[in-house]
Amino acid sequence: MEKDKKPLLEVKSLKKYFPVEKGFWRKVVGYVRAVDKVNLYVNEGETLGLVGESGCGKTTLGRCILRAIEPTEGNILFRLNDKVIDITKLDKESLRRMRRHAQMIFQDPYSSLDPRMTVLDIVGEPLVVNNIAKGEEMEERVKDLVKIVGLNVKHLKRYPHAFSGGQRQRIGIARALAPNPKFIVADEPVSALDVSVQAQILNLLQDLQAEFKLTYLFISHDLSVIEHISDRVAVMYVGKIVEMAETEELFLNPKHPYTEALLSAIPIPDPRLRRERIVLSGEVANPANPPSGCYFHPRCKYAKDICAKEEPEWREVNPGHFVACHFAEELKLQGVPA
Amino acid sequence: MKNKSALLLQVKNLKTYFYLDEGVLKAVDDVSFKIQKKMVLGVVGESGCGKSVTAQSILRIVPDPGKIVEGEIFLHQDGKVTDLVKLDPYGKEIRAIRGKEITMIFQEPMTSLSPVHTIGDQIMEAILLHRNMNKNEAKELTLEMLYKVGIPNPYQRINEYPHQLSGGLRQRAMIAMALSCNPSLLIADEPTTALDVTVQAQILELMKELQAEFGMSIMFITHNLGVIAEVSDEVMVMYLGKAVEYASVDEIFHNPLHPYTVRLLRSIPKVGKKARTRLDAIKGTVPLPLDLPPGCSFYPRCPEAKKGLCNKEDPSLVEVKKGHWVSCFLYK
Repeated sequence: MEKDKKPLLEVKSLKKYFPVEKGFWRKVVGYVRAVDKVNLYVNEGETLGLVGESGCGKTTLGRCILRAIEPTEGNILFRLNDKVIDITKLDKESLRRMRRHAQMIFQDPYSSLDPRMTVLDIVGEPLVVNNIAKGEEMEERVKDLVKIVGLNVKHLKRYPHAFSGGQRQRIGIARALAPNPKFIVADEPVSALDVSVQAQILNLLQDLQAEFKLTYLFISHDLSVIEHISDRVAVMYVGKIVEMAETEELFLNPKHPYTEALLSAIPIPDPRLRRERIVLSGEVANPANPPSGCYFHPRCKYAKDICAKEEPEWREVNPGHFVACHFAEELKLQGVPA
Repeated sequence: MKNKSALLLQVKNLKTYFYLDEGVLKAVDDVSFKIQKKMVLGVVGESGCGKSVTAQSILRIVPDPGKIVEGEIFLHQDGKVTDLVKLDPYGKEIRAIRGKEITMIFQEPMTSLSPVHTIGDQIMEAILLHRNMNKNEAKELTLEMLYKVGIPNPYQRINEYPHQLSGGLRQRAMIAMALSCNPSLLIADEPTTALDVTVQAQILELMKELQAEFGMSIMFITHNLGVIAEVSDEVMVMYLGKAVEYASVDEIFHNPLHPYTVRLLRSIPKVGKKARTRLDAIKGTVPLPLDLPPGCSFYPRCPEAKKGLCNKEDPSLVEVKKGHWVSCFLYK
């Protein structure tokens, strides 16, 4: 794959703290650290997979990047026509103009489409709002988009309830594609779909990427899907990215004990490959009251004293392989069976 | 099967239909299978294929307007054979079986546990109902079960409400309840689907351990082929209310015969296979099983369909190889 190695998006120590309020006066008694000093980058034309368990902050991170949620701190650098802009610094109007280049696809195709809008309205809205096209021109463009995502042009006047889950997801994708974006955040786009439909949507996303040179941030909890679609993968645990590397490297040669445990938990569809797995004890840490040091240390079987005291540094241990673990260089961890 | 004594449950030509205003929905249409003692039968299929209704039919809890219209469900217990279809769904006999001989765990433990009763009370209710025990003994057993399913601090948890537990712990509590009466069959309907992978791994390990200890059979319903490969001895693949293939787990994954099984296995991304290629997706979607045309239900999506045969006649489930059943005209 020939790929441009320039980062399209760079996230620098991004934080999102939600205040915890208590009592009648809504006094702030603490913060939920949903996204906690996250650093990552996405190269132009690639797919970065973001994987983690529920509540780890992956959706919040995805939304902060598009400023659908206001981040608390940090920088989001987005390269547009060879100019780098900081999304966090944009005012309302420039943010609105910038948004046409960065779109989002949502998980639940049942609740993310307005039930009172037709397909034409849903897919055409971003064109009208962004002053790209209106009237007949808009309709022509919508017809093209609908064809591209594999829906029937005759169904433009139908409402979302008349479509199946997979078809609705296609409508959502057509809408995201409408303003001709460079970057798409896809938040669990196939999690609500049946296995056979899931494959169709994954194929569609890959075809679109090749055709329109799209860059994806692909959020999912499903490691098999992540491995399939991503060029690089970032693993998130309690608001922090604990590891980021090229897909193959991360799956075969993980450097963070949490990644190792995640990989070992994947059920493999081959009865001949039943294996011993690392079963994590305990529960995911509470982001409102995280443990000291490394957030993973209470569940980590390799933990030593230092892990409870000091937060591990986010560093590049091999070219392109980033990890936040005190013992990343020493541990010999197991990946998936090759 | 040669070893007759090991048979626990036999379902024969089960048909469960829902009579709706729009027509007859054949949720389960002529399904037959057997569950041996101490075995795990995996039932796999996409949404709407009838896997849950099959389970509900066994327990006789098919919701209205659904009805078992035909078929037999034989439960073998201590040399006695009972046809569950003949029992009154509100009668004494089925109540003695439901929750005691056959128990069930569900996908979403939050909605299937009562929010206004403590975990302890809910587990004790089942024990008091089905086992000859007084309250103190029942409480002892509840604590023991909570401990066995790996709930930390059972003395405190026994007095807590479901909302105070995490998803994984709730599922453990539900398993504790289902196993407290020592059932011979546990029906697990998508028990790990709502859970994270690491929690799913915990629950699967727990179920394997408990099966070794309690020796019950499990009917494991899921759409996740990875989970099926991991837990099952035998697998039944369902599509639109019919069993399209039924064989040992090794045969299903290494020698699948039915075009649907073959395509389903090809359409999932596999870890460690690396290739960033296109997935081999099945075209189309699962139709609503309402007033289906005659012929094989997979016909509209099947790449190997023969016009004039597959859309005219319905293939029946035949044994093409010892223990490997498939319903497709390719193997006649």
